[in-house]
Amino acid sequence: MSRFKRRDFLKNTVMAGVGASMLDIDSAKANAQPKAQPTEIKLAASPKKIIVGGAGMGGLCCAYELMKKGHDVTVLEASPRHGGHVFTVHDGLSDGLYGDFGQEHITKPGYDKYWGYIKEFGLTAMQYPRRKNVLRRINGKFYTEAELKDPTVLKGFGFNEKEVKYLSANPWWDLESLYVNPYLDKFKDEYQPFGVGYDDWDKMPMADIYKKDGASKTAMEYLGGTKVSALFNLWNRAILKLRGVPIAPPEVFRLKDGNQMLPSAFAKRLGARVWLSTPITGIKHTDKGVTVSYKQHDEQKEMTADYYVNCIPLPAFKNIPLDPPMPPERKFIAENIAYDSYSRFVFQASSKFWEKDNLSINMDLNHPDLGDVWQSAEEVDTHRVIILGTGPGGVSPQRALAAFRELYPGKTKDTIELAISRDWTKETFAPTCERLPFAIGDLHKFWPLLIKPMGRIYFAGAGSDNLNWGTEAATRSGNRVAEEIDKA
Amino acid sequence: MSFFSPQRRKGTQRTAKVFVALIVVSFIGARVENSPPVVKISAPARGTQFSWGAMVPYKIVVEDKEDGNSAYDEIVANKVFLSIRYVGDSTVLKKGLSTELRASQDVLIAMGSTTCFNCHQMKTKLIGPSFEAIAQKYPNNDGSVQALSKKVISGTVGTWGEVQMPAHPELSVEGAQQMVRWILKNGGDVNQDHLAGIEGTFRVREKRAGDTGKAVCVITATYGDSEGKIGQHTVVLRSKD
Repeated sequence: MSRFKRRDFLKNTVMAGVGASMLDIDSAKANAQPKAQPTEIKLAASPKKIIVGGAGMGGLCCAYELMKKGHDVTVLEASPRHGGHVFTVHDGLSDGLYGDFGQEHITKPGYDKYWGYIKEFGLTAMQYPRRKNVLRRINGKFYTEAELKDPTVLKGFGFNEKEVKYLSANPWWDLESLYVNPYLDKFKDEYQPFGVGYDDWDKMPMADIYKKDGASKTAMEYLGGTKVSALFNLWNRAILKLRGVPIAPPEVFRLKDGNQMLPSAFAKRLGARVWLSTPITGIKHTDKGVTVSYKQHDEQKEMTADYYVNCIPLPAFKNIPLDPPMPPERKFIAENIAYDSYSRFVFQASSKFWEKDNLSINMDLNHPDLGDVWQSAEEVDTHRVIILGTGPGGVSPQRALAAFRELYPGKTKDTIELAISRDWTKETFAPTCERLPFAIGDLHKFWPLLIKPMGRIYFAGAGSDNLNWGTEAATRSGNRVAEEIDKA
Repeated sequence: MSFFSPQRRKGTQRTAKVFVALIVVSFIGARVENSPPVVKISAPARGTQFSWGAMVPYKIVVEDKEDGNSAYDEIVANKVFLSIRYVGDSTVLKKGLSTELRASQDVLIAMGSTTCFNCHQMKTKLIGPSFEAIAQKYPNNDGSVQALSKKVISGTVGTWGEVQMPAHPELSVEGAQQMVRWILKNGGDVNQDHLAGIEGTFRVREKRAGDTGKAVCVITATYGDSEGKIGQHTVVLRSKD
């Protein structure tokens, strides 16, 4: 197993940070309760009837935008709750504490649409210092951020001279920039990876670029990329650069009272347009419209509409019979697109026990049962604390807690009194979480078809945008599709 | 909680049974027999015809006196399997089919008791690679069986991607090897597919050379209850063309 976990750096989800007290991001107005703006519904020039499949962030956002544009929209959700992989849970936790079982954070810059909704709905964003002062366990030993800038430590790992120089001046998670930055300026349009001069690199692994440009063996191990299309990887980093977002932004935010506040705000405004426990069982489509079959109270029913917007992740959507079926090039995407999934652990402790050891609780543990931990829900008025963690599906909360206790580097006995979890791999309808990087050669097959409509069927949701960052992609694609259908 | 809620009733029933069992064991020395589960494929119905490459919705109903009823979510969905076999010409229906089915059922039940089917499917990628892709990558020999069963028990990452496969310390070496052997032997077989879950859809494979107008698709639902008793139901679907 590699010493450094590449997956921790590829995703927007798995890093940690600590400690400072939570502040409203606009602290001058911290005491003023933000006000929601009234929802304005326009009169559409040509009102359309639209069925949205899936009440996750993408489906809710797209339906809300369509409703505001004056269209008749119905959201069909298979599971008994809305919000999808944005899921805040209070059950079993004391003193009003809560844990986010799904979506973790947003960034700024980035997440423009999301920030727009925070303002529109009068929600409160909070600083989330989970990526500050991260303790990283490498080769069985914990390192502070300062230690990971120390040239002696870096040389000891086996990094070469230019890597040591880069890492002693830049954060640990940013090593990839040393190798990708020289290639990024050629990308001008974040939705267009082709025609900038690297088209052939879709057939080459990213690791070949690192090797060609003189990466050390240690850096190769850390950066990985042996199974990722080089063109995909460079395009992905170019998107971030065009948006002004670092590879793993240290400044992240979350919503006060839990990230579920946003999907709940959408759902509240959509009202009775959101139907829960209503799985879609088939879709007939022509160039004139769609007929969606669904199940409600164990009865088969049908609904016709002008358009269907699919916000169900493709690995689940591919199991819904379509008539006519998907053409082979679409079927290829549905069968080959890769997603990750995980267990989220929520530990409730009766004190900040790590402070006695002068440690940060933002830890990258690199244990097979528990990848990382960080603190959350700091604003709740109690002496108790919430520690969140992520590990693979199939790991029980007690096993994850045992991993934490095995590795915790302090002398103080922890005060964790409860461990619960959400294992997303066990979900009946949508066990997948975030879309993974495209495999070698797949970008040419996936893009731009992935976001193009198929007749009257449109695609939105976390998997249907250029960048895979969950709620960013869901809100962007939701708006894109609402706009496209409004103008169609 | 209402006294009449299914869980309460289930629990009451179980307590009563243990009590009865104790009495029987103490005074008569006999054991109360566990009832085998009743499994039924409620869709597709008998006589349904299929088209090559089409999606077929299915639903399985499981009733077990001890474990509960699938209609009330009392049966763990990933412990219920739908096995699909294709026979290109039913006039020469293979005799070995039922023996082969029995061999698979034990392994599937063992796999359903752990977490395999949360992340893997037989023919398509889910969170982990498909069993078909695994069978295509590794030759079916002792070396692969040993190496892969070790990965199953201790967990792995990096062979197929960056998603961590969890460790399965609860499995015996022998049990893990049996699963791996089954995957390597059957994963690549185009004439069989196995799905976990009580409800869903399966895609009929594409038409191949040797598929006649008399081709059949034999679907079998299997559930092994907590006492090791097995219930099964088979429906034969005929080809439309």
